[in-house]
Amino acid sequence: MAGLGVLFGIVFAVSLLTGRYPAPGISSPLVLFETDAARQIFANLRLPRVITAAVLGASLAASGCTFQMLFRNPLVEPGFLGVTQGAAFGAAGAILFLPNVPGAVQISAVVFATVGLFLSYGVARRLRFGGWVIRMVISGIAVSALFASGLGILKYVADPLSELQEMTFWMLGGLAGTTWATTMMMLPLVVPSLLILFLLRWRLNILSLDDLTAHSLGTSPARERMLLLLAASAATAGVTAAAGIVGWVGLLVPHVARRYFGVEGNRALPSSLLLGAVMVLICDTIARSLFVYEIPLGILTSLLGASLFLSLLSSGQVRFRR
Amino acid sequence: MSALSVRNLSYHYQHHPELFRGLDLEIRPGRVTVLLGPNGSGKSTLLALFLGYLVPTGGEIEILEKPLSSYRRSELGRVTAFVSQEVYLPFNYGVMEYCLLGRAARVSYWGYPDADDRAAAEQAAEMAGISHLIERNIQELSAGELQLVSIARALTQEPSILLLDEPTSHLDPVHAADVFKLIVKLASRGMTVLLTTHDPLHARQVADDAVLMKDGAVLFSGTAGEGLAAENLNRLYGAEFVEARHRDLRIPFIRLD
Amino acid sequence: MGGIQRGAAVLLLSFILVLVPFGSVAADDAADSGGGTTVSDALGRTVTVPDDPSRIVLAGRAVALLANALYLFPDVSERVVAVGKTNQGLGDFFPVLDDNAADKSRLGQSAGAEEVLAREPDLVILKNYMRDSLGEAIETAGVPVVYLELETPEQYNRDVRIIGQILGQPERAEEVVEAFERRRSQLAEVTSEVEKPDVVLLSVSGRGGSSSFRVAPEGWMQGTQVELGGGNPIWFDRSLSPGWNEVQFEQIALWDPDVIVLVSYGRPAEEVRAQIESDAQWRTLQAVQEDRVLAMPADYHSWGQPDTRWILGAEWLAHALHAEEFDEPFGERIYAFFNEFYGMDRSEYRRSIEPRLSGDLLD
Repeated sequence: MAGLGVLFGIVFAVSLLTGRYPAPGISSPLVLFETDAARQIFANLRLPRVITAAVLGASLAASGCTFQMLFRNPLVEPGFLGVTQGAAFGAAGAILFLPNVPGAVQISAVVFATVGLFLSYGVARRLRFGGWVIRMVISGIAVSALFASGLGILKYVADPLSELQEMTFWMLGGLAGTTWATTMMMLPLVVPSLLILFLLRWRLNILSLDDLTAHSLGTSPARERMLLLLAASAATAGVTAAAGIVGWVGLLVPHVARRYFGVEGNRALPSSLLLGAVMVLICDTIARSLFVYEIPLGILTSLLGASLFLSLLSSGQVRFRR
Repeated sequence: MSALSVRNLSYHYQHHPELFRGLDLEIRPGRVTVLLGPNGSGKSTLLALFLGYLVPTGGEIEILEKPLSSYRRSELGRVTAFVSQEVYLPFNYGVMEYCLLGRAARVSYWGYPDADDRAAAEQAAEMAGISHLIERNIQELSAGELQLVSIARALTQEPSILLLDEPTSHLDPVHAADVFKLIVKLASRGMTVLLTTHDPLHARQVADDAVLMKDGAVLFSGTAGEGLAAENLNRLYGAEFVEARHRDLRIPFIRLD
Repeated sequence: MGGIQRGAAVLLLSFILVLVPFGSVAADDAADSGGGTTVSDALGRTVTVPDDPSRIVLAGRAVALLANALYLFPDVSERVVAVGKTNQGLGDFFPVLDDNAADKSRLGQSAGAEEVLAREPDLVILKNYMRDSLGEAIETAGVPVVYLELETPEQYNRDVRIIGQILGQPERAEEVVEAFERRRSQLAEVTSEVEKPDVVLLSVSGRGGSSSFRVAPEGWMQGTQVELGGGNPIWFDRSLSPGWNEVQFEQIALWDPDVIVLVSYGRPAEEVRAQIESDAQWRTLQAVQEDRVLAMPADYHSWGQPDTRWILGAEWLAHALHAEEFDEPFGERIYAFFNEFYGMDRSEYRRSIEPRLSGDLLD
């Protein structure tokens, strides 16, 4: 785990030194502070972007780890309770109806992500069959589908020259255009949420047991689960609002973390946090440095995530019972 | 003195007819009590009520002479422990990590188990006879080993009362015998054990007391010797039990011819 | 299989068998009627269009560009029955083009084949990329569809000639092509001799208050405009993908061009420039320091796109970059464009166009 911390430190530092300016690739710190322009770019663009990338990765992976343990299912993603699709719908709606309003896209994304979560939760409570896991999964799928079709409608009526392009860019996910304002808008929601997840990392184990057993251990599974669900969803909503839909981090990273650092929450959660940050830092550094143009971050994380996941699966390192 | 007592208990699931009405029951401390009854007679529901997971719609439950409703959650987790019929863990925990989950009621909310908790887990493992498994992972264990490990996890809670839901229903006879031996050992050290089972044969060997339940009512409550006699079992299951003798033990079974 | 099911299957089959010949008859019918003119459209398809089309429908996406090309020809109004969305965000130019605009039915940009066919068109004009999603369905119904590309100067010449053939006005087509070519060679003559400053042309779109910047790939009209306007398009890069490419500020700073041209389709480009000029990072760029950030003008449409105004955009850039090479004020060129291409007289120009002008007008 200490090694992981060092790895994170190195990746963070290298990311800070890498970019397009003053020359494409890695620059020495001396060069980065030589001119006023270089200092401006470093302090106002690269620093917030690298921090945001690390927070984005850490949040998605930690939320993914939490969701997988809560739902006792290694295949769930942090946004599946209507959070991701809700955020996407909210963002698209703001692009369409509130153009040029500062922060409208982010705020609308968070609002609709929250609506998605509570809708999923509300529907699940009304369902009359199965355990809470299956109820939540079903209502999450239904609510997500609802928002996805709403999003489809918004895309359909959007102007292909401007609005649709923006929606598409947002859906692909990415940190282009990140400034301190983006970072600051995201942190108030994300930091307390991550803190809750981190502090409850051991109790998370108990919630991955069946309900009656968890209860018999002297805990209140329903209440603690609600707290963790809220925290993980809030973190996801916060970073999704800032960066769009960045796929596969929340699904893949917890697998790798459990595989190499242990399944117990005290190990899986902190290592997911660090590994998620490392993965997104690497992908985002490539996204902004490799080519003249920006590669959408979501494409890179999906590419890396899906191929890693396949190699994990084919080497038999992901196991499922039932 | 009773470990568990039930007075005038009634319960029904939402939108379902009443499962119990006016149930009275007494579980004596430091003894093994078996709870027998046909499927659907409410055995598992009764365990869930004892654990406070379900709330009675009427009547009262007392644990160690104190109303269940007056216990705080974590307090209850230090008094009663529970092992479910089948343990499913989605992730491949280490045996030690799993046993340590038994400390949930003793570790602070934001905390993590410390050396004392670890010592308690090791002691429980030794009691359950699984010390040799402590370095292994859950998914490498046989069903019988996993059941013993789950009991060790429950013992890590250091409970006075241990509830087990059909602890041997999917074990082979040798592993089932291991579990029953452990149950006897625990009772001999003063623990109250209440288990549900469909196995009168083993029940007769380990139980001090027996409770027979049918259609949400107590058919019999008393010593195991009396309760598990063939005529009571015949009333319970509506079947034809006969008894075989082995030394001074009368063993009930159903003849197939 | 039950008897009823089998009966239903037979019924359905015979129904289909009866209908199929009807369908093909209907299609043949439309193709045969009135002889017609054969044209080869932008996709290289041979299409038979009616000799005297009187119910033209412009549909699908980017209808503004189609309409602006079609209305280069006089007396089109009486032939057009329906047009799609033409407002790109700065106002609707179509009523200026067509005095009877109010009587035309307007289609949504996602109108389907049935909605288009409901206008009973005798000819449908679509952008080249609309064939799969819309055009094929209309073709199947037996209505001729002509596809236009309108993305480069060469395509403009070719597609204007196609329109000329359709409308039976090849002379007007040659006039328009000649006008494009004359203006283009005038520009080339002036700008071939001058020293070319490094230029980056950025398309700007708002993203929740902040802006994102994109560059066009090589071969797009915006790059052609910069080259014709006497600038060196230094953003061309082999790795650019065939669409708008989002670039981040670090890359723009790496280019640090002499001149930045801002193009905005939905809102005036000056707003974006004001935002840029108040930003500390941007002020480190030489183009910002030396006041060489130019806002591509727009009237109803930005000039920085493959509209008929593409030539006006190129002329404007040449004037902006090389003012010393030109004698007359640029304002006159704007009027000359609308006069020559759309037959506007000065009073109509003053009424309809002048109040709409935004961007750097160089006066």
